[in-house]
Amino acid sequence: MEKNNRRKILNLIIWGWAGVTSIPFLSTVFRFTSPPKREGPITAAVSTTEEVPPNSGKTVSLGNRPVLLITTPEGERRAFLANCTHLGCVVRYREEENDIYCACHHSVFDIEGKNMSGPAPRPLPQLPIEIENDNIVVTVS
Amino acid sequence: MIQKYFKNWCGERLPLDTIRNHFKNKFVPRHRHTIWYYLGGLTVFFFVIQLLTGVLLMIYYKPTMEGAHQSVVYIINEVPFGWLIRSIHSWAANLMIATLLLHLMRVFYLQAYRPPRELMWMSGFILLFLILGFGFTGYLLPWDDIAFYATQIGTEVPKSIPLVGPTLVALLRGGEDIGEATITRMYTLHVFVLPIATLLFVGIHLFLSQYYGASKPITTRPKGKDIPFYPNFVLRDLRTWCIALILLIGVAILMPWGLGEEADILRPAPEGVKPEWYFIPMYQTLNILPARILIFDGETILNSVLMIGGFVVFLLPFLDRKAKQRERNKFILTAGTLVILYCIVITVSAYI
Amino acid sequence: MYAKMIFTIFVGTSLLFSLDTGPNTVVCDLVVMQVQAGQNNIETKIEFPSFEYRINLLLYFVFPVLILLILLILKIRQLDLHLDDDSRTN
Repeated sequence: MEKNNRRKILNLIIWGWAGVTSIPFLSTVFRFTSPPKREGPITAAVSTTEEVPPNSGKTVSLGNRPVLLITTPEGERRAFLANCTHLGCVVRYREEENDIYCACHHSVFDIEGKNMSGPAPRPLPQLPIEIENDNIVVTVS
Repeated sequence: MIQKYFKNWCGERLPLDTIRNHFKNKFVPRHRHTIWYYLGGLTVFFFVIQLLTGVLLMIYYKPTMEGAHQSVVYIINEVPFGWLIRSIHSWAANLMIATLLLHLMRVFYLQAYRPPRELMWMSGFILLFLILGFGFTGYLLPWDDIAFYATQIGTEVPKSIPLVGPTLVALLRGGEDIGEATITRMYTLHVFVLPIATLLFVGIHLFLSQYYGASKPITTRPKGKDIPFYPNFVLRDLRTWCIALILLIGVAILMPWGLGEEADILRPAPEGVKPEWYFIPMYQTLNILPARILIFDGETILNSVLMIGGFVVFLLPFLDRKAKQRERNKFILTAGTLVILYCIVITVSAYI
Repeated sequence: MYAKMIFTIFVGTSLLFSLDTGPNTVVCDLVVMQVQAGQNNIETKIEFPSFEYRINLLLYFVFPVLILLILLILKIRQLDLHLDDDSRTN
């Protein structure tokens, strides 16, 4: 009886410790497979002003993310992160309707990026924009 | 309570009792050579490590001419613990081949291949070639200059095989020369074809080892009671694996596996181009062999000798008639020892 | 014997956790791959972590395995002793 108990305790300790042993190995695997973190904000000239005339939009990539540049009919320039806030499809500018549209689930945003209709829950995040010598400079965080 | 219910549930659906009885009635002979029984298990252990670390490396590796070397550099420099995982993969590969060769020697010297274990010997022989195939295909993947030239030479060797040689080389390289097509071919073999084939043969080999049990040597006298396979011998195996793991991590961390300059097809061959140590006997023999012997090419002769030799080794259980009658076969043991000695001497001579 | 074993585990564990190392404190900041806005810094030289760091890392992995090893050996001894008992009664 006593012998059996002793054996049980030893078995328990061995299995428990085997679990502990696996922690450093599993955490190494986890760290290895975790995707690299994005580094701080990226600022770059992504387009020239000529390429985005009034009442038009253009999608560019910055740091592997899609960015929508638009120029309103009044000539005001804006930049948005182009992933729809619903499920992440890339949105586009519609000249005829003068709005931003996501074809996946028909979400519509106005030219301020505000969600007007469709399932999109939030406005599109607006990005800081600057014009330097006819270049459009956008910062993505 | 839950545990018991689960056990019953499984017991009603699976032949658990049969399996349990099998393990209960399996014993490992205890004698002065018992220690050699761990080598097969060790090889399997290293193979499992190769599978795990290989999958991890596959996440970041890019099998293209531009990407291959760069992605390995990225793994080493940027990925957390990438250098460690890659170092373990390289070290375990070499240790696996070492334990595999030692395991082969122990089976040979204890003549464990004698009936009824012919199929184990044959499946083991196929496994040897599959594992060497892993070594050969994996060597090129980092795309550094030494690996590039070693593969250049290695894929040139089969060229002298009559009739099929050139076709074989073209198949291996995916063209006349080594390039991007070679990388993708080697990659496909290394991460898909060879693993599946190896798993199949490891399965057969392990099933047979359970079916026949460990072979008792012909002349050695037993030393005490046989060891029950479960749990005693399994725990001994686990202990051996712990020691192997400590050694493996030790060398992988203290002597991390390096990486050469990126391969450049136009650069002349650098000094010290050598295949991995387990291909040295073949490589060095090729070096010392005269270009022509009588009317034949040196290479053709070496290839023929290797093929005939491989065939003889493959069929060894059938050729060794004495072992069938549980007698030591002096001739075969001497011949095998001479081959092993030759390999050791020539390997050492290649490094000094 | 058990007192010794528990002592070993205790010392091992405290050593393990006193080592200021391991995956969570490892400084290995990642650089976003070269795709960023035209910056192409392709590296061709490899660099390993410092020797000191590697020694710490080694201990981090080896300590738990070492303790597991001791436990397994204890278990094997226990089983073997049991085996001898059996052979004596036979």
